[in-house]
Amino acid sequence: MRLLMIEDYAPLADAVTQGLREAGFAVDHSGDGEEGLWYAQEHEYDAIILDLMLPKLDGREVLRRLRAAGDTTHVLVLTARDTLADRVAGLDLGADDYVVKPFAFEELLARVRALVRRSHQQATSRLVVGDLAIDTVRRTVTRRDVPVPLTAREYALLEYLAHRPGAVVSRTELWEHVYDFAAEPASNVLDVYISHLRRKVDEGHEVKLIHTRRGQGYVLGEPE
Amino acid sequence: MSVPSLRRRLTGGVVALVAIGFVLAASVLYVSVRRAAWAQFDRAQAARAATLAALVEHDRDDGYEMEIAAPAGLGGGYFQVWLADGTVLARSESLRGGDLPRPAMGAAPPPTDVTLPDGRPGRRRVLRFTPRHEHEDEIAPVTLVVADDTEALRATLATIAWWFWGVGAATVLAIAILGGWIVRRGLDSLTLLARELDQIDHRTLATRLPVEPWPDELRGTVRTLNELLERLDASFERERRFTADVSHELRTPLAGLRAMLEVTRLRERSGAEYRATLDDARQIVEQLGGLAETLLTLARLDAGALELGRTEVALAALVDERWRPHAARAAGRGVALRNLVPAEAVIETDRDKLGLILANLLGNAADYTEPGGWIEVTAAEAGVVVDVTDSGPAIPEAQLERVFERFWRADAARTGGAHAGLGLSLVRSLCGHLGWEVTAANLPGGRVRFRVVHRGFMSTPVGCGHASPASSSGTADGDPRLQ
Repeated sequence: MRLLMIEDYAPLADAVTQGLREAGFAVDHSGDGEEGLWYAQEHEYDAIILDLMLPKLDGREVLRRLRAAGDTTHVLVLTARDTLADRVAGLDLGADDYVVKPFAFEELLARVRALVRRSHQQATSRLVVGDLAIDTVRRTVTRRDVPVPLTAREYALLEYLAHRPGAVVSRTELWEHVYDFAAEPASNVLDVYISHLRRKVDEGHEVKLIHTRRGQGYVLGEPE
Repeated sequence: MSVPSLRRRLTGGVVALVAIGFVLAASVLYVSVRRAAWAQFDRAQAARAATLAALVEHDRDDGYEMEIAAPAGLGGGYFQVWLADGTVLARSESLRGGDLPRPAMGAAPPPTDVTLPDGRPGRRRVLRFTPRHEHEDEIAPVTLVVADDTEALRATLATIAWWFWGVGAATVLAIAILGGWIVRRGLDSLTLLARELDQIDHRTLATRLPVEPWPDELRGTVRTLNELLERLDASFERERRFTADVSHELRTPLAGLRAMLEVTRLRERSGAEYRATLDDARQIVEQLGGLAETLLTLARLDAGALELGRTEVALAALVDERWRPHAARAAGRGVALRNLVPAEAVIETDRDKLGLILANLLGNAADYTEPGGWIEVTAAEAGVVVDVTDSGPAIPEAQLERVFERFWRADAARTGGAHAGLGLSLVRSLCGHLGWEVTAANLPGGRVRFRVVHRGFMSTPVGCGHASPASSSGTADGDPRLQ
């Protein structure tokens, strides 16, 4: 899951970015409204965390322009203003959630997860594909109730695929949602992680769940 | 002290005026009517007396005699005629043989009110005259008394009086009711205005009352109220913005601190990572501490609760001292300070406050002067406490005054760092307390000068003979005077 964090106060942005990355998200960070808006328009994000007081372009304006351009990416607004009027104004502009500074990181994390779930029309934190189950809060994977230990990257790939069971997910899309700018780009790195996943998830099982569609991408699901 | 309602006062005033006017008019009228009525009564009585007197005659043979041919035709009154010796010559039939009181001898008394023999009120007139005669002998005068009933006249006058009072009271009552209504109608606008004002509270201060629908007398008041609303609105807006800015400036670093600590705590980390977090946290705490200090100082300045010391301050040394904390940061950006204040320059003032002013002006210059630029401190001109000039870039003309506003920043919302946007606002407050003024001006060549002057000494025109190693760098963007 790839997130965009637009926040100008570096210590806050750095800490939250680090925390989110450690929680398995790919996170891009921008320190001003103009750049942030450009990021948001140029890339596919699963959710955006937006500060309201930003240099160059106000957070409200960023949100307004995003929505005006028809972008429906879920936006969580960070603000120091806590009056009812401020909250209503923020939600009216098209924000999906609202967190008042200072906040508990765990709360932010839970809300970000909820937003991501909503953006994939997923009602619970549990994803099930065949006999494979993924707990998106604990970030654990089981197959036939046997735990499958995965690295953060492997997990991120599997979770993204599990949000769209049976559908072909292109390599580009997978890359976009699982990696941020901080990640080192390498052409075969996806293939490497997919082969690791295959070994951990499908080995020893009769029904294979991870499939490659040559020239198109990958599919997670029981074969038709 | 309670003030009676405007309506009651106006109505009361009108009613009282009408009542007084009516009483005066009615009294004058009544008195004239009464006087005329009595005069006519008296004239009629005098005419009757003269007629009766003409009936009395004297001749040598029969002595005194009176021919009462038609006593009834002489009115329903009473009369009696006495001879000088007291014998009654004649009396009206209405006396039925009785007597009227006989007046004393001597000159005839004026007409007087009496009670008639039948008990009714009346008025009598006495006539002493010498009867008609056709001989030359001396004859004694006779006394004639005429008395007439005044009851009818009095009743008429009383009726007239009652009419006056009745009509008067009714008029006053009618005016009280009608006038009250008219006054209330007249004051409707005031009531309406009060109602409209009632609806304005702190959330609807942007409301302005329309001027047109009010009567002339209220328009001025409405305009004044609108101006008052505008000032209130502006000051509320300033307060709101200030509160929002304070909460942003305090909460954002707190959020950073909390996120930093919580994220670090999420898992086991290396010693170096913990150290880095602690260093970052300490920096944020310092920053928050500085912000709290500045806000407190501003609050104390606003409340006028800051005491001022007074010592002799060596300006040049103080400039050097206050530059020191910024020197490294400025050097990093290639910005250098030229302290051109003469070593012997001495100001008698509060050392700490002046130090705070210098620290803020220098810190500001250190951060906003273009990389590779210079900052110059002088104190040469008359009335000038100190000038802090830097090589630019120029401040857009429209923002020259705004830089002193609280939480104003060149870049709309740069959170944290050394500048919360309070420094120059603090400088202005401090200057105000020390009897100084601070102004910002763009000079030729894109230079920016912050000038602290003694109050009353306004700064000299921009660039006027201000010798300075002018940098040729950059045009003064946004400064129309320099184009």
